[in-house]
Amino acid sequence: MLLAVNLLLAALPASAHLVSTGLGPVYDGVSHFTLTPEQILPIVTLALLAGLRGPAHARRVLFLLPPAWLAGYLAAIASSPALPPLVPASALLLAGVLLATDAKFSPTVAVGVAVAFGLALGAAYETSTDNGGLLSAMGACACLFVLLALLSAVSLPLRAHAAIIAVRVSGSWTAALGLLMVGWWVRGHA
Amino acid sequence: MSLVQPTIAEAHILGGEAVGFMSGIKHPVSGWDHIIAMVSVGLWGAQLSMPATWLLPLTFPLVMAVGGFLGIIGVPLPGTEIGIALSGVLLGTVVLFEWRPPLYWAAALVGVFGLYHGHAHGAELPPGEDALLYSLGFVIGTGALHLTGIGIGLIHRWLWGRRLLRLAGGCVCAMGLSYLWTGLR
Repeated sequence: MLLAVNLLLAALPASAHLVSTGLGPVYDGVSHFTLTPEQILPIVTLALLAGLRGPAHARRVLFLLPPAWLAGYLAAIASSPALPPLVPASALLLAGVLLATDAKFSPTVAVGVAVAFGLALGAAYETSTDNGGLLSAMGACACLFVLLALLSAVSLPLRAHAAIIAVRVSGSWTAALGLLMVGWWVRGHA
Repeated sequence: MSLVQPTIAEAHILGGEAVGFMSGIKHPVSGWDHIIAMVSVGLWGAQLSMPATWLLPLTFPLVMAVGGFLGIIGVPLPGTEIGIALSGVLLGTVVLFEWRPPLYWAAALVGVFGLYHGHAHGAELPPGEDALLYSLGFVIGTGALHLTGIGIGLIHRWLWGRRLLRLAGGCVCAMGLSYLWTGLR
């Protein structure tokens, strides 16, 4: 009897990685995504860049990045080795550099960049969760789509020089953050 | 038996991450040698007017992150403390005399000092913090100091403001000399 009571009182494993909202896996995915800065920051940066580049670029990114993200997630499930944290850190660095330099792409390159970031971030998301499942990933993907749409819509109409500069400075800060993250990773593996 | 079985303390469920972010924000403002240099970058940028106003604060965090990267991975940079003290002296001097070099010279000067400041921060990063939130706080803290300098520098449009800025540059230079003296002893 004492043993049974003791087992009931014993500590349960902490579910730190997948936030449980009690509203089902889709909302768990939404809440996990919104509480994961490693995912949000590159998406915010790419959305601002997409808006700066104009409506055609923003549309491509909006409709290509989320499916690529989901594909990256599924590919990471299918492959056994976990993605190293260097990947999201490098994505952050690269996205920040692109925004800080206000990089101008041809439409083809824009498609390639959106797909590459989507695949990398989707795979990184899978690595950061504890078996959240496809529904959870779809919730996160829907959240990503909304975030992309809203933030690219914010930067799209920007014409004032000071406003564009402010966005580019945020890109330089993001790049600095990404570089520091890469440093942390290198130190952890030295 | 239950008493001796440790459970997971959840009173501070986000404690590590929150500490990481706040530590990161506080780190750039933890020493006056860093504060005066970073605010001076904003002051000088405001004195030089566009595009230096945004180019210098854009350059500094990026180069500082390179220094931070080198510090984090353990690459030594000789004379870091001297370099930081010299940044106060020279940045204070350029604000004092309202020096107007070509833009690339200004960016290079700021960049070199950014490397020293970043390296010092990177080498001092505490282990066990949340890396992303710490770095995020660190970058925001640094950027906030530049914005403070730019904000103060807006008084440059008035004559009394220009004089006040130059006086501030002189004070920064004097403080830098004091740090340099301490560093050389």
